[in-house]
Amino acid sequence: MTVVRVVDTVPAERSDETDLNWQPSIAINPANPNEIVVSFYTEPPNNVGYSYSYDRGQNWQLNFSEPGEQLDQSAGFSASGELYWTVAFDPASDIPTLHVLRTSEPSTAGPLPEIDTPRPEIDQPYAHVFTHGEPTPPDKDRLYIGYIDHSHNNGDSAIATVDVCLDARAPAPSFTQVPIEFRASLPLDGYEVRPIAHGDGTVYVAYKSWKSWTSNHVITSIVVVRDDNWGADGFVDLTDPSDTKPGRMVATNVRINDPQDLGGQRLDNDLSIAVDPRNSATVYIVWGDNAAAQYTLRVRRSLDRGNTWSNDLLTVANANLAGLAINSDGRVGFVYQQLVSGLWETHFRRTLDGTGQNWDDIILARTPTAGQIADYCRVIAVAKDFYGVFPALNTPDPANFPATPASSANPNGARFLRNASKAAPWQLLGSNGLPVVPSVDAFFYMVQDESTPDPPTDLEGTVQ
Amino acid sequence: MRDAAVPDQPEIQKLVQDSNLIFSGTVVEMGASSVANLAPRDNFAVVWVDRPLSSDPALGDLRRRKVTVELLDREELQPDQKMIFFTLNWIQGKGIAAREIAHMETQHEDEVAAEVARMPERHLAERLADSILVVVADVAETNPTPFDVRWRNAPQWATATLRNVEGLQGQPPDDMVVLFPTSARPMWARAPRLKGGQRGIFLLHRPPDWPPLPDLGPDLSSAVFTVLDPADVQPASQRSLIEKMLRERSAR
Repeated sequence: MTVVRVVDTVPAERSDETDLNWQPSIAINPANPNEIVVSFYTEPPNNVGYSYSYDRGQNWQLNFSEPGEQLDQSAGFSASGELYWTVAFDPASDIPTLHVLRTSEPSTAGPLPEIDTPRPEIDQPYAHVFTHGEPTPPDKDRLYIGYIDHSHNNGDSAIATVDVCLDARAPAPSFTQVPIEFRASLPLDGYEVRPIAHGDGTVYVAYKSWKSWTSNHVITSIVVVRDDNWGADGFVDLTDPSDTKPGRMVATNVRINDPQDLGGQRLDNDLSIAVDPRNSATVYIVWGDNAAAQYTLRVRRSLDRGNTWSNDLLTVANANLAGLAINSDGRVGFVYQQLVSGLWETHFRRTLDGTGQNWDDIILARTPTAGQIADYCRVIAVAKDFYGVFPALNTPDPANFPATPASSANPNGARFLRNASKAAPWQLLGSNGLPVVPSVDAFFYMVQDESTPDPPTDLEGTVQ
Repeated sequence: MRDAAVPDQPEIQKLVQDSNLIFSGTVVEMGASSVANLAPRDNFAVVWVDRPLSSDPALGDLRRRKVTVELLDREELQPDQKMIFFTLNWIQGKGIAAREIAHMETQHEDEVAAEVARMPERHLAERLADSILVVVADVAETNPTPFDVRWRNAPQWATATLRNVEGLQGQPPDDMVVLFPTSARPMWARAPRLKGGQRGIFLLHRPPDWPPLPDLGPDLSSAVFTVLDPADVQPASQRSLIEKMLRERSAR
């Protein structure tokens, strides 16, 4: 049996909330997966904070850190227990500015110390942390923050960039800003810059290098760069045979009908990459494009450190919010939301064998569309298990959560911490017991491998 | 300002501005915590909320609920004391915790409540002070600008042209364009959306340093303004209030 848990992260104290919880991301302490952070943002002001769970996602609290207004964000958790939170906010200048914050007490954090130079005019920061075991303690936290840098050429360029820090736990960490676009002189790279590290020092970063754009579509290359020394050498170790420049073009002339939408969701934000923890030569990638009649997610892989890439191993039409992760057995996890009969189906799929072509399929949620709900979501593997977060309309109807059938412990199927009716009519309830209008919440999920010992909990949903 | 005997209004005003959770309450226990995942500390006070004065609507009605307050100075409070607490949100989940900015005697409760009630008007005054022009006008038409793909969070500006323009502050130029965001993203969700035929009072501001402005064409000679804050568009029925506020400001 695979055990699946789905939890609405809004705590009971915020039962009157009707905010759109936008851009959910997730970070897990790999040494203690009971500790999880889900970050998202709501309508400003006073929206700077993140959700924290101390019991593997069963209960959640919202921690506010500093006053101000928060924009895009993501967090990374190290095995040392440090939380690195990368967040764009700057209420003083109104210019989105990357701040890298750190805490060893994520459960009670207030205003957090900043450890990197603020980077103004950035978009979509994406944090990845890898704790590297050193011969002599302490271990070192490698921190990689991908983002788009708009600070050059009066904002007319957008440069895929990674901030690299090889010892983020140091009292005064040193960051190196590394632009990874090696071709265009006035680059306009896509929104997603996604780093992923392996324990042997290999670091891949996937990004989109736009070649042209009009009012109704973008033509881009899907590019992967690699650094074989923890990112210290400038990401020049993987070149393309066409021009011998750094950055292997996995696909070229990729058409994406940005800014068209799918179920109210704007296209063009579905790039994700994952490396096999057993072998850094094996790397999977997914993106979405309009090569077919419908916007389609494509999963491909390389078995030779990014030098050559497969054809499509899996395609999913009418889907977005793609995320990839690979567990300790080399099993690939793939999350996405697919528009089916006017509803968003949140799927989580895992490879069934080494071909990369056979996948199971767990439908975590099936909910009405709700306009723009996020650009990205994220999945992470810890040992054999997968943990992730997705945005969805929060009507507490058990029919909306097929993978977690209703039980006496969870009459809503998914676990709702906020007040909700326990029988039809299914509705959210405010602190006064009256109905609250549905909105979009961040839903945590965990898909536990068949062979993983079940932690003590009464939250089991089962999937054959 | 802590628990001074007689706080003046500017002090109360600043405390209200700086806080996002304000309530009067009774200290239940010192050095304790009512939040499951927050261990007790010496500088904590568990406070029973008697009267919420300003709070996040997501919390609902806070009356008769407990809040753990991280105090600036634990020596200043004792159990059973009643105080007004000015705080910042901290933890919400299996209890509520907040960080103290200040506290004061409950005899000032009505003054604080009145100041909280004045916050929208004070915000309007700030927007008026920051505006270049204040006009009464009709929106003649609105038009989208080319979609800006550069920033995922771009505001996706639209232009509005105004007619029947009457200046309440400043001299309106003959030709001007007002930009407003159309993006539904949370960072722009509160911005006013203008519609053709709409009549109102518009607090027009200089374009901000960010986000980048759209390409409005090489021949544009119009003066460009923006409306970004909900207070920047007021119904015509607010005219007397706005004129009064403008007079008061110019008299200073």
